[in-house]
Amino acid sequence: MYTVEENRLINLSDGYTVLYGYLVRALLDEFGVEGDAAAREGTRRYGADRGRNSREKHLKMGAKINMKSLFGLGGDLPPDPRFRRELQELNPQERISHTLICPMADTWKAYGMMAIGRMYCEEFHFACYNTYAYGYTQVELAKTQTQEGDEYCAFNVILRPENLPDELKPVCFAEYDPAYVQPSFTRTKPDGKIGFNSLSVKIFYYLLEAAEERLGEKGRQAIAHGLNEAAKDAVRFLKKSAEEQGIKWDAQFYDYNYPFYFDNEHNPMWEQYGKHGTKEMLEKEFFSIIKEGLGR
Amino acid sequence: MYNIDEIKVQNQQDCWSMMYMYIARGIMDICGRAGEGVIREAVRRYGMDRGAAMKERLEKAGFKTNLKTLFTIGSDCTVDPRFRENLLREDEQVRLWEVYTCPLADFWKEYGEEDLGHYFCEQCTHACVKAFTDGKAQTNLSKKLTHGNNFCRFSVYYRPANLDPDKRGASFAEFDPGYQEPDPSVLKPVEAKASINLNMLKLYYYLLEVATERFGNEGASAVAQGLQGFAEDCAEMMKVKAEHTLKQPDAEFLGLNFPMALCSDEEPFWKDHDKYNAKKIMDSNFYAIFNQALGL
Repeated sequence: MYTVEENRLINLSDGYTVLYGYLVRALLDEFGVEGDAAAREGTRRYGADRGRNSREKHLKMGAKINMKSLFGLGGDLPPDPRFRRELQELNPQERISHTLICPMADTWKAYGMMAIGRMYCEEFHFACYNTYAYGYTQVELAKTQTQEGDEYCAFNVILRPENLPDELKPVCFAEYDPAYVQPSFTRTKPDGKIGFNSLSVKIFYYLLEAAEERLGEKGRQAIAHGLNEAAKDAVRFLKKSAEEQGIKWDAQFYDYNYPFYFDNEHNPMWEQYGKHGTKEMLEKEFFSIIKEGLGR
Repeated sequence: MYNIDEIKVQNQQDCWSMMYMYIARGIMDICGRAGEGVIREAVRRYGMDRGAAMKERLEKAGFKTNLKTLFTIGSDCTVDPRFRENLLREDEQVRLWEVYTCPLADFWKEYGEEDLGHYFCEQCTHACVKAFTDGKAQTNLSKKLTHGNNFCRFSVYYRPANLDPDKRGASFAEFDPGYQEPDPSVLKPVEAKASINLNMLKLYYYLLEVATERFGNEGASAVAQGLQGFAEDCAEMMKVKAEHTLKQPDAEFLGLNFPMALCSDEEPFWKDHDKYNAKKIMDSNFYAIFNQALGL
């Protein structure tokens, strides 16, 4: 049993996961291997954006850019109460962990989107962690729940000082920076709604960007179709969730439980991610269906 | 129990493991923590060299260069019979396998040098696959026998979608209409001694190359010191191994159980690898001691 707040996080997480699935599926269905290529490129750009953002944030905090900071200072992924992880090692050079329950993998499986989840695992983690540490992170993800037969995810994310050029060693490791005094850090967890809204806008933005670049107007249309499908699914699963919790299915419930802000016009993410007509496309291809589902 | 031919392969493999370990130890002892960077870079060059050579061999014979060909007919090594592996999946795009017993890891552990082995494991397969696929495949190694785990887990992914459209046909038959795969018999299987010999000399050469590049004469001296330790211990090891098979450690036995020629002039390798005084350093720091210890 989960609390109402936990259920919101679960719905936000599933909304983000399924959004990715529908956008990528639309590209694959329409373009085959070329759609696959665009989806992978979009996923890599998205991962690189998140890695870069975390690095900038950590540099501002005065942290060293290493694995302990990446995984210890609080990332940009909001918590999901279903997630279960066994952390085996966390030090500046290594983060070794087993993900025992991954709600994203479970959701993709439930939607028949396992291959899409596999693509996410192959491209996102590498791009994100690698970009974070200036391209020198070794991302070893040999077991994943999106790989048939694997029962858990085995993350070994590694940054070896001796693989870095001399100028980056003091940026990444305190033992190469003799004058370094570590500030005190407060670990923060991102807010569910703000966090999943941010991730969802970014993944939509980068998939659209890559699709448009590689596949032109038809690629754009495929993304629009993916948004339509994601919206229809959102109406279905949010209605069901509201019903199960005995809560009224209305715009407020939507806003608490789905990543994109209902007030699309004022979503703060458009300032940075408003290119390619993202805001307008979301209004037309996503919110028209949501509003219809809300009886508006 | 192994048969006499299997034991010969094992003995040669142990020489390879021993040489790497002694040279790497020499580098660490003399070059300090920056020695780790030398070893890792040398192992990467070694892996890249092997990957590029395997690619060239397959291309010349008219085969596609994908994960299936790399790890089957294209492989440049004879597997030591002590390896215990479980192949989970093998096709053109995906290769997943686990290693439960590794004679290299066992050898290094026996000497308390798992860390040196670990440097090797973290770099070699990645570099090899990288060169073979022009950097387009992804290698994951989440568990390592040299790093406290009881198995190694490798997952390699090579996706057509991550290749330029005009390059897909070179690796994947489905993108090359009308392609007829040549009869596998056109590729002669790699002979055990020849492959260990070549890999051993290449590894030595790259260790010397990087040590010299980064530490000049001091780096070369570190490699020389490693060779001296290797020569002494290898001579002792060959005596024991000969005794175990009721033989004398003479030229005949060594010809079958030691991977290098007994006189460096007989190695064709040096013709193309004559920089850094590589042959001379091998002669004076290995052969002089090894031959004397065995009365050759």
